[in-house]
Amino acid sequence: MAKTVKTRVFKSLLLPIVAASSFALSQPVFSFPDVLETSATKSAKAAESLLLDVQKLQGGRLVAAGERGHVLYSDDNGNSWVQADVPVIVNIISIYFVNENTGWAVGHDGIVLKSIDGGKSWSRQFDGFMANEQTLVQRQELVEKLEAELESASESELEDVEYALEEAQFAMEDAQFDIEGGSTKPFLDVWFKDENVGFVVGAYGQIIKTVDGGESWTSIADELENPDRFHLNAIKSIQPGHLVIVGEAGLIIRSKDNGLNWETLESPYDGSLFGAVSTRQLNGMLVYGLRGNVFRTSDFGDSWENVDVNTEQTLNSGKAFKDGTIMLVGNNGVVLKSYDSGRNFSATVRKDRSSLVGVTESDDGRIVLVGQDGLYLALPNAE
Amino acid sequence: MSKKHHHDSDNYILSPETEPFLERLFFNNRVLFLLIFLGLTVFLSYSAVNIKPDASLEKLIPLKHPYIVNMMDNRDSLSNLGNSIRISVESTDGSVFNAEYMDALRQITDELFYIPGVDRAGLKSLWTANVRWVEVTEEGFQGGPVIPPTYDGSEESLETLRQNILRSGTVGSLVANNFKSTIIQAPLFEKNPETGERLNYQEFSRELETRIRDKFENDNIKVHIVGFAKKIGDLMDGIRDIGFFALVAIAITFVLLVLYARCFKAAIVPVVCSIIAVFWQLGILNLLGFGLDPYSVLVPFLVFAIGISHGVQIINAVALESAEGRDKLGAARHAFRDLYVPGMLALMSDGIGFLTLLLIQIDVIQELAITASIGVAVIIFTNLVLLPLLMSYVGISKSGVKYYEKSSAAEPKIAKIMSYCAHPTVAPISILVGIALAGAGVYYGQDLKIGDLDKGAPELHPDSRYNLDNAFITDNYSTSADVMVIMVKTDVEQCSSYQAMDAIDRFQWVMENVEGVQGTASLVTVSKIVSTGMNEGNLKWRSLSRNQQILNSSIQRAPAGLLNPDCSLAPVILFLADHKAETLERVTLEAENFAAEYNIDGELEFLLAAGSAGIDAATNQVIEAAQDRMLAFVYAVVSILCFITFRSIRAVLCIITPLGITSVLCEALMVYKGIGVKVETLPVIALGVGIGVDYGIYIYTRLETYIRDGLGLQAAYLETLKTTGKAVAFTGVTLAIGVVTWVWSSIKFQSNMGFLLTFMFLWNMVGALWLLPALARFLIRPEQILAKERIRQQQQISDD
Repeated sequence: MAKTVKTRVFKSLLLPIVAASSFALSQPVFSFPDVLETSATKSAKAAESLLLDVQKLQGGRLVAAGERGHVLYSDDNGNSWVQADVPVIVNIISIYFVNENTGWAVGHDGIVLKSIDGGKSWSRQFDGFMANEQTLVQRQELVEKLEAELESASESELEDVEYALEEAQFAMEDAQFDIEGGSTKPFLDVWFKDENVGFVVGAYGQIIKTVDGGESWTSIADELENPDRFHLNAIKSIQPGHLVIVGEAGLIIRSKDNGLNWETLESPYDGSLFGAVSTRQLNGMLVYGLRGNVFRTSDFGDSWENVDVNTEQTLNSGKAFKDGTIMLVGNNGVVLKSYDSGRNFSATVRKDRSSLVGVTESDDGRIVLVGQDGLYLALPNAE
Repeated sequence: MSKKHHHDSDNYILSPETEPFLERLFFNNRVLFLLIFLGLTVFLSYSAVNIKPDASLEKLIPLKHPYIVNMMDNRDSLSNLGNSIRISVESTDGSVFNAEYMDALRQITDELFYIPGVDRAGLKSLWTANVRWVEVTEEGFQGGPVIPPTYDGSEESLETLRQNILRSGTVGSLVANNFKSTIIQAPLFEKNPETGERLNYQEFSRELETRIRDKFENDNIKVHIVGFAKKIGDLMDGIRDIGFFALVAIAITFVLLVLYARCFKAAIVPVVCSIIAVFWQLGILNLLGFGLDPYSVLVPFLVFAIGISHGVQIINAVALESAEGRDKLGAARHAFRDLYVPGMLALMSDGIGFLTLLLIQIDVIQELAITASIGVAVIIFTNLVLLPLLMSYVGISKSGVKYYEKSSAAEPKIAKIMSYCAHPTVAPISILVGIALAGAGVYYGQDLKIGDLDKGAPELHPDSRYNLDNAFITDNYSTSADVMVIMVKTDVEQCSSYQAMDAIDRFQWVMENVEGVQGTASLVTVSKIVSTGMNEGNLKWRSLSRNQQILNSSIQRAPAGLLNPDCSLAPVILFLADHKAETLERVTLEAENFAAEYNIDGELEFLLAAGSAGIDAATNQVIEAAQDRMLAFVYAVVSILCFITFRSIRAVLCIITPLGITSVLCEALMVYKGIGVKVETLPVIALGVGIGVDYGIYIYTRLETYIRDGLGLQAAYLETLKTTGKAVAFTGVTLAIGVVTWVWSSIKFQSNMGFLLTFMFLWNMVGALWLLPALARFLIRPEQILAKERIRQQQQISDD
């Protein structure tokens, strides 16, 4: 069902191409530098406004990130936070550190930032405009390739190639439209294998890869089986070498070789999935998403079982703690806990009902939650 | 002025010849003038009765201030933000989730629906169909009215209701954070769409009282009502009390007059003349097209009080002349001759003092200046002319004359004691005390703040019903009563462009970081919320899209108040913690800095400021700028008048210094009472100084006269006290009585004005009686005055 909804949205985006390109020319010039060219302001309110991700680094530092280019870090288990230097004021959606110094942050307007000082300062590596250019070039190449194929296509292949060409041409126009309209798409999650190799996934099926620590990025969207270009909401490592990407319309894509080959799985669900978390058992993981839907696998996605979690709130983030506890957090303050590797969950709702988007555990055993109203430090029971 | 000195009172304004001329004019044609007065009184009273109440709020705000100019330029686009009332229905018995409460809420919603003036389509309560819960599902959105269609008051349906409320996102706006009350929100029609009639706030407010509050409040249900219309209604109701205050003031004044003069006739004539002055003043106001607003309604009190105080002087003089054996007519004529000039002078200084208020560009204060000046001008006729004319017929009773003789024959002990104020030993002590008082006044007065300092509606008392209701709602809901609106102007159809929205977004963040700003809202807020909603409620999408189509669809259903129909104006609403001057200053400064840096004429302009806090900020700025100028001006004017009269800077210092101490003490008192410098307190200073100078003028005139007669300072002052001291003291008391009743007004600014004016009138009197002679001890050289007098007399002789 969600597929039809999304397709409709997509078409409505494609229709007014002509009108929109003339619009772009008439736009007034304001004295603001672009949001990608404006450094984040230091604000005491950063810790109380929308934060979307939090991670604990090796060595215990906590780093959280959110709207308006806010990145905060804490070296005392979350008691006090310092705002980092960030060169943009777009919303940062996800962060990932491979060690105590090196990490990446991705978010709106296709921004990719890198830090080599444990999150204290950040520099830009990639953005939506660069992504647009790359996509256009790539799609132009595809169109040229298909045009060449069309010349030499046999009678039986002709229809297929024509169809593919038409699709490719649409996609190319789409990319052109994005460039002209200055429209960009957000990146939603980031994961790095080490200091060099990493992936960033995002809206409308975007996935880019680097092998040089983010110096250069290549789209590998075509390597994934995602013809409707559904949003890729999260990329997680479940166990060494084992990656999973979850997305819109129940999309689940896995890789058993650190992202060299990808395989789209049969999904137990057709709504959006927002994340995945290892159960800390071999090949065991949970995927979760819209309206309290949680699914569990013990064979890395070959088969799934539905986990009844007793909430209808959307689940945004999850974390397996050192002691084996799995915690999932979601909209309107919902917190789910499992002490049996995700077979059963107990649900609680935090008093302020503020939506939660990220969770991690500090070195002193407290829970650090982030969301709608910023940071929360909670006791291990998250209350 | 006593008779024997009247030849000296050739004060420098009117030549001696004109006095007899005017006297002849009036007293030789007594019947004619009485008829003219009668005719004018009938005509003006008829006009006065027809005077309309006028609650135009535009008069209360500085219309020429750039903030207000911006607000007025865009008022049509902003109107959708404005006028609504909120009724919070509280369950005093546990939470709102019980059948009895929900039933009452439904009835109140229904009742409100039928009250004229309510925009029925916009009415919002848990019981209206436009309050819905929405949920994202795999299929898209799912939703329904918060009251389940199967609602039957059972525990089960109440539980469903509770779930729906949580899903509806109305907690904090329609449902209290503690679930003990809910709000019914009703937008109002400024003009009735069918008849085109303007909404009568007073009537509407009364309907709310009778049809909602009185009808539905009981042990378990409490009703709290706030909103502009209710506030104005309460204000208008407050004005009605003024009639009662007037009666009380008149009654007390009359009793005091009887005690003072021991003559019924001598008491009734000044009261009648002063009431005639009030009717004249109101009649002229109506003829000039003014109405009575909550401020100008106070002017008749002042007119009455000033009329009485000058009337007392004349009655005093008539009694004196009668005691010397003159008949009714002769006594009245002489009283007129003696008092015409100093009376005129005092009244003129009052009037000019009032006119300094014209410096403040707030209509209501300027009108106050004009109406009060008219009132003072009227008193010249009614109490300086009509009153002696009437006395020439009525006369003073024998008992009154006897009492006067008795009391002036006796050496009054009080006068004797008080004459020591001029004693060489007492005077320096008095002056030291005066300096100490002034020092203390200046020290404590440093904390004097501009603007209103209390929470809630500044027009009403903090403990008024309206403000208690307001406090209830701000405490229990996520809302603020102090709202500033910044208008963001763009080209037509550009208010929702990414560039404009991005600019607004940045502006909001800058403002949210200003201390005192609790939150902000705009089209951008809506766009972000809708973007989140369109993306399955995922907060990761709470951002402005660069894609214009997505942006446009995100604001398709934005509330009408957040953009105008041609999308050239998008207000940014700032919710403030309070409306204290520092808060407003911080907020406007930050917003102005932003505007100065980023405004591009015609394309993107951040314009300050509308909303209650915007008006407060503009008013504060005007008042702050005018305050010192006005004080300087009013002191300059009375000083110049005194100088013209007495031709001596020393005299001016003697008269003005006590006034200055009173002004300083008044500021300290304002700090102590938590009263800020506001629209209502600024006139108090001008009125206080303008009227207060009268005492000094009367006393100094006498004092100088006796010194010229060769008396030493203390002896001269004793004579002054014996002749005019009692009248001055009495004047201070009558003036204070005229305004003290306002203290009990339910309108805070009337109450503040009453309090401060009472203080100023009494203290100015004390200052004149106590400090003036002490200052005279150091500043006045009796030898010099005597020497001058001798030269003058010699000149006169040689001239003759």
